[in-house]
Amino acid sequence: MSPFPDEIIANILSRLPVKCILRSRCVSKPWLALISTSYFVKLHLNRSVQTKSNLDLLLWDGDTYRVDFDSLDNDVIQPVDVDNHPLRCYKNYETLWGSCDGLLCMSNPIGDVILWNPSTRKSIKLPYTPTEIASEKKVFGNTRRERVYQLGYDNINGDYKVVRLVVLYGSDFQDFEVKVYSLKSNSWHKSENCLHCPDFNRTGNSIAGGAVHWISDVMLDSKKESSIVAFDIRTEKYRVIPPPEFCGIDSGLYLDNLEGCLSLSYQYQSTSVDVFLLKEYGGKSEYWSKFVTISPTIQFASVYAVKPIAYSKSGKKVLLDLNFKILVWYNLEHDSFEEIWVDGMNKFLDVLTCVESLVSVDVAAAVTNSNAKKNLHKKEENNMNNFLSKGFKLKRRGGGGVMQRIDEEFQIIMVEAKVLQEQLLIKEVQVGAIIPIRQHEARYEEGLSLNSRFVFFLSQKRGGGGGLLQKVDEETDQMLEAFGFMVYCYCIMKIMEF
Amino acid sequence: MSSKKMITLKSSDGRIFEVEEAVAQESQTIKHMIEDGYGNSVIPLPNVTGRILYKIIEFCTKHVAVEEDIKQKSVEPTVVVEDVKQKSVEPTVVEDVKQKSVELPVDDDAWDAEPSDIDEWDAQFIDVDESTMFELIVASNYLNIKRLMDLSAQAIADMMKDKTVEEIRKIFNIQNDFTPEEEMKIRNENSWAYE
Repeated sequence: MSPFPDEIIANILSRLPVKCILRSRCVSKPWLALISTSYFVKLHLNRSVQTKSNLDLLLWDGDTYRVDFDSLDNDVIQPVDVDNHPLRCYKNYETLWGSCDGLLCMSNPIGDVILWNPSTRKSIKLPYTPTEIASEKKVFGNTRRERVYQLGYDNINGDYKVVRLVVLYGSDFQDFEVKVYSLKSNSWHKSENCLHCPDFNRTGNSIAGGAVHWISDVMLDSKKESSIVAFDIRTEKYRVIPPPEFCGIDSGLYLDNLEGCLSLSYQYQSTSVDVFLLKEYGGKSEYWSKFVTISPTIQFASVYAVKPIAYSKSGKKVLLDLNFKILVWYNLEHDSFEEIWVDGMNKFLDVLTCVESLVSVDVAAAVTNSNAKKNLHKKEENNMNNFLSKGFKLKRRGGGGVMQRIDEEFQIIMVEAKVLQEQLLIKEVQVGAIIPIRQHEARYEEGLSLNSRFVFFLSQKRGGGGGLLQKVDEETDQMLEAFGFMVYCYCIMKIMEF
Repeated sequence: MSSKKMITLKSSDGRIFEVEEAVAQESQTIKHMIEDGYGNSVIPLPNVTGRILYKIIEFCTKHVAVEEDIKQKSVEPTVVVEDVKQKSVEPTVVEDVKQKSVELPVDDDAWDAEPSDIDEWDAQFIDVDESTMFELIVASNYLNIKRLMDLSAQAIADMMKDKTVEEIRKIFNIQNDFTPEEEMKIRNENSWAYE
């Protein structure tokens, strides 16, 4: 009965705190449907991240505490014990490993690992997976193992991943294992070809640019050097990133990240620390840029490690954790420091931000939903398959092209251009624009035009593509038939023979 | 009087507004219509009432002025409002009408405002009753005026924050299409959120 189009409701609701949105789920069926879409979850998440609202600061010293990010404007903060997380029943402490899009990764001493969304209060326990380090079996004598978890997001596959690094220390050797957990498949697998054993003492939350990083002592030109190893969580490929010049081996290096940008704090002369940020990540001109220098002339006696945490809302200050003991705002304009007194805590082994989000850890629901959608659009899918089975050529304005199947499923969303214009009042869509079409997010690629009768979007989860689906006469290039109607369906496209 | 190009808009209730092209182009919808060549005739906006269109023009005029950094108090955007009889919908000049020159309300301080005060001006602009807020968001969505959409969406969100589910349904005029059992099931999924 509401006269408001979905995009208006989505615009409004995406500005509300999570609690309010969860209440709104029972307003009506259309509202429930809208709130449950991944489009809306992302819209809400992106808005919170951009405006730095609905943000918490979590501090961990064996127990986990939280405080509103906004309260950091005060000189004193009073963090509150987070006592409602799913691991709480264990008397021993929990370990907080990381935060991503509102999800937290935590574990307890007996090895339970969970992904938990504190805003929706939903969690999932990761399945158990053993360590499978081959050399372990051949070892005699004492060994010990150390484990680290890192949580990240694979934006091509739209999947949250947990990377587990296990290092095995023997009396005269070291070996290690990397395993990756995918939320979508709710399973672990081992990553082979591991190089360069991690040194956990020098690694904090080091997820940046879609990769997990660690410091390793690597042989370069027959000399041992401390280097940074990057492990891409999607491709599971490794690369070595050299540290900034003049960082010698065994210098006080500490790897962390500042809002997704890899940071390296480097202690020299046993008194001062330089903090570098890795800019233009993954590009040809990737470089380390010096961010701040902390030396004893400022109020701190000696600093050996710096964990950057977050920028302030205005962007003029940066929150830093010095020596895992002192929380300060560093003012970028004035090159000055303001300490924040934390009531009730005297060490901060980990400090991270956690945004309030609707991101789901519900594996079962994801599978059920996709089945339901498949059934619902079976008829359209059959039509589509008939159309496709007779052969087609995917044509882009200004050039031809044939769409080939890669071993993944594509969602094809087809819209009649007229409808797109009328309903969404879009005359011209900008390249890269994310368009909500019936609550599905589709990416519009360059070269497409709404002058054609049909517009077709190819959405590979968060990926994108597009074209105009026509049957063309291969020789004359004339359009024989075009296919389009307002629908969302799954379809595996086959490599076409003409 | 500058010789800027004027665009003629017609609201759903037949009121005619003449605005500067730059002001009209704050609406992406109108901008595209102009680009498609409709800028020389009356542009009908059947989804927007005269009352709301007036407010929207006020908003767009203000924002264009702020962007152009106009600080002259005496320069008020003039709006020509013609009361016409709704007999036919013709995109040409209508005869036999009284021409009244109506000026948009000029708040001296507002026009003199520094760009940083625009947020305050916006806050005052959107400080209206609920139904006007909704009319503004629907119209700005149709006309595709991002800044006004965001402003009204935020105002509505702020107003909604502490409301109960029933109150929200009333505000949006939504019929509850859940059965009592269905609604209870959904509430129980997040029962703590209702405290």
